[in-house]
Amino acid sequence: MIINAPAITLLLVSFLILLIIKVPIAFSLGLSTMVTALYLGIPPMVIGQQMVKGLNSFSLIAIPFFIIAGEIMGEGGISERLIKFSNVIIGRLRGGLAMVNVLASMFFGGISGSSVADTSSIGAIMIPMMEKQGYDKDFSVNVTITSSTQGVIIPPSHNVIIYSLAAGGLSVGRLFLGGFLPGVLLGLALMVLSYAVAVKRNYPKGERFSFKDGLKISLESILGLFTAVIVIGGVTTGIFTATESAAIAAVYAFFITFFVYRDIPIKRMGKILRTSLKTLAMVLAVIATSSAFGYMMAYLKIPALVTETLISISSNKYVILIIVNMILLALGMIMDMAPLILITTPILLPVVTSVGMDPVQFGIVMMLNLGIGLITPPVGSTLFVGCSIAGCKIEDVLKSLMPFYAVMFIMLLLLTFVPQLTLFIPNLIMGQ
Amino acid sequence: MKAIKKILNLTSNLLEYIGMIFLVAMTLIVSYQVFSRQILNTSPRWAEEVSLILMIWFGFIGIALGVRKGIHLSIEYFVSLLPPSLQKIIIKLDQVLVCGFGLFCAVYGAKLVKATGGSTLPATQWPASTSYLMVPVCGVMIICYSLAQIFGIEETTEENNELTSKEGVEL
Amino acid sequence: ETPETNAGSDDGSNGETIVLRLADTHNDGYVTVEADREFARLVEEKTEGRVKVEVYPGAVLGDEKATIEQAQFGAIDFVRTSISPLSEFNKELGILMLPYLYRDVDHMFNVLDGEIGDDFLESLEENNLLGLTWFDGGARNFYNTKKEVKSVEDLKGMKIRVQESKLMMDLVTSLGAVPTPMAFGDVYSALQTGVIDGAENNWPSYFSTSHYEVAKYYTVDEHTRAPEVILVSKMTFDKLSAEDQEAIKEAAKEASLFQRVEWAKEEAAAEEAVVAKGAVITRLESNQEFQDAVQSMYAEFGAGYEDLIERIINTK
Ligand code: NA
Ligand code: NA
Repeated sequence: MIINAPAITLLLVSFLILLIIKVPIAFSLGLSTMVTALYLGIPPMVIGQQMVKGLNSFSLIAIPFFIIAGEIMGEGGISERLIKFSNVIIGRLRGGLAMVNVLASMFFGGISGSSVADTSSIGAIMIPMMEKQGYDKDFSVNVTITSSTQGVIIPPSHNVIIYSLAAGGLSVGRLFLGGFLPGVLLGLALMVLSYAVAVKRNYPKGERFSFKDGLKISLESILGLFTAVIVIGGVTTGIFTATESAAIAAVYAFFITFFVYRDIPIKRMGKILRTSLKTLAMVLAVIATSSAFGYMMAYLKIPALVTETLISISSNKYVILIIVNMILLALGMIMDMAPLILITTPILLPVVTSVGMDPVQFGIVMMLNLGIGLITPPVGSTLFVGCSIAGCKIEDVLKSLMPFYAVMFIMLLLLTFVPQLTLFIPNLIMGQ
Repeated sequence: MKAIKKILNLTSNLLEYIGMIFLVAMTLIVSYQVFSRQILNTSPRWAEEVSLILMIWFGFIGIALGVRKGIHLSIEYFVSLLPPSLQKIIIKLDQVLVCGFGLFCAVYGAKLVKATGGSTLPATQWPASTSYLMVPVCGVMIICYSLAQIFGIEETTEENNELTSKEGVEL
Repeated sequence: ETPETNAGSDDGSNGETIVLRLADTHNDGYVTVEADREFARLVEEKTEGRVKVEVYPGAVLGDEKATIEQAQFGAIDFVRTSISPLSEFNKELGILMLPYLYRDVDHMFNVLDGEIGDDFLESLEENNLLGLTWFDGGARNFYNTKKEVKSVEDLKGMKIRVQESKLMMDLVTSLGAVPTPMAFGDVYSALQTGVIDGAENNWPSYFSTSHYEVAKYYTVDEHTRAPEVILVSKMTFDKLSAEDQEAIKEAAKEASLFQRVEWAKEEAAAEEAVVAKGAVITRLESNQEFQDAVQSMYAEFGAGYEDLIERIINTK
């Protein structure tokens, strides 16, 4: 292998400097690629070509559809319904509202793949509600933000689609199914922890519902949750592709929100599209330029170099997987999910597959890992949103957040070292 | 100054509407594709290719709009540690760098469109350069929007103010 | 570590090693990639180390179409590609993929290694490319989940997955089946759930995709042979010395002979493997009936190239 050390250094160092001086990530990727191409004398047209190539993928079109569907549902009153529904199921226990918070996020995760969207819509209702019933502010925020990371793992998740693209076109259906059990397990673990804290801090029990009310609430919210069924059913049976089922889900969400729920007027669609457009602009910009950056990494054979280096440190599977997780955790503390998935997948996937890890399993491990990054300082968008809703400082919640981090780390270790947790369901439904 | 601002706002509003139309069009085309395959038992050959072109164009519109609206992700942490006067200088430098990338996209994007005019897309038989058309266009828009920022002409449409404040309350 | 010099700025006469890049979409270990490496080895040997070829397998530099474009700009130097995407650059190449055009693989290579093939390789010059040699891409055959297909009649009404190209879709339509374009990765589960009834591909892909598990009826009709080529960027080639140019051409020819032999072995191995796993292979006594069914396609796609088609058919 021929290694061009100056070019590799130029690419990576210029990228880091640009990141540090707050150049938008998308442009940092583009500019560092540009400088390296000029240095190497590669025709710069290739960068434009690769940016287009990054967007030129049919499965990518699922992302706008999922984001629109999530946005319509979030605006159109699904959050309230999911909270009520969760309340019917689990509210009566001690610390009921905390567990309702987790369960509602689990359901919300079946509609939206965004942890920030979950925290801002479920959290905006739950945090004040919990405080009113005597829960401490820090605990309310802790439960809200940690449980919202389920949305990234539980299908559908647009970050999973980004991973499938970055991994060279892995089956979205398998990845979706693979996230199901880990997402639910994470939710259950958080519920157990919430219960334990609730008992210790003596939080109140929640309300009970009459059978009739309970049934009505359940039916209404199940109608909304059916979007998830369309997506997962469509993708795993092969009746629809991921993209097609995402489009159907968007149309369905539109229909349910404006013709069944009718909480908001149809003219709000303009605002919904505008908000979706903003989210998409961020995500797609990063996808485009990281495609060019990825090209340059491949051209300089950086992924192969990293694999060789890591394997030379240790050939022990467990050591390698721990190192990979530590790299992801460290990066997750300072960077957002989408760019991290796009940049690190081509580098780290060959490493983990070389020690025998399944790419689908690695995808879900990566999702949880970067999900933890969303709730860790110094850069954690979900943590920020949660604190701003509750009106508290980040340092106020950090101390009591530790047990929640612990639960997530244990889940991360389990997912890393027990492949069956991820692979059992996809293998069962879609074959080996 | 006012006139420039007006024109820039006009273009960004226009881009926003085009983007929204593209989003709706993609949804309809893909839904039609499912309908056609499941019910009519034929698969329209153009559907995938056209929705892909819409996706690419939409993506590049988003990149340019993101510059105007300042919504691209960046790592603010390190700069926030510096004194405010230094922060200001760095922000200007960032805007110049973004402008530089816009220039790069405009120049080499145009070359790319020219270079790929000779081949075709498989289903529609449109020129392959159709996919690349938005690279130079987006480049030019990035130049305009980042120059506006360098000279302090930020976007402040009423609609935008209303939007952000509303979001703040509702969340 | 060898110092690297870039092809774009090197005239090849200053005694340094020239590093050139070859892009392939197949994964490492695949027959064509092995042949790419053999090509790289031969180039280095024949130029006495003056030229080194780095192979980039697994589509890391982009799909076939993207890498062809990069060779046009001079960003990369060699591309291994099927002629299918190449025909979007040079329409005439589409003729070589007409259904049931060749009697067998030997017929095809007699055409390609002769004057007709040479003309095609050179004709890419107007695209800023140069073809070096032909690889075997195998023959594509239909397979389905339902029954043994022995005649055109048996195919009628079946939903067959094809690539999104007009030629392939028209082929399936001409045979009375329903073409269904679909991403390659979705085919297995679509076959399994009955969303489609069948698909078509060559032996090694039928085996490696495990499609034989869900669609066990494989009919050897050999409807399409899409040969593959090794291209060189004209920008790169023009910068090399005449001696190195000649060495590269020779290396390509030798590597292609290696590829064809290995490909044949791969096909035989794949056939043996799928049969062992229960696939039902149907060999047609004659595919004349299939040929007749697609005659109208020759009129449409071959318009203006009647003489060429005649010459191909008459090649011994
Ligand atoms: Na989700
Ligand atoms: Na973080």
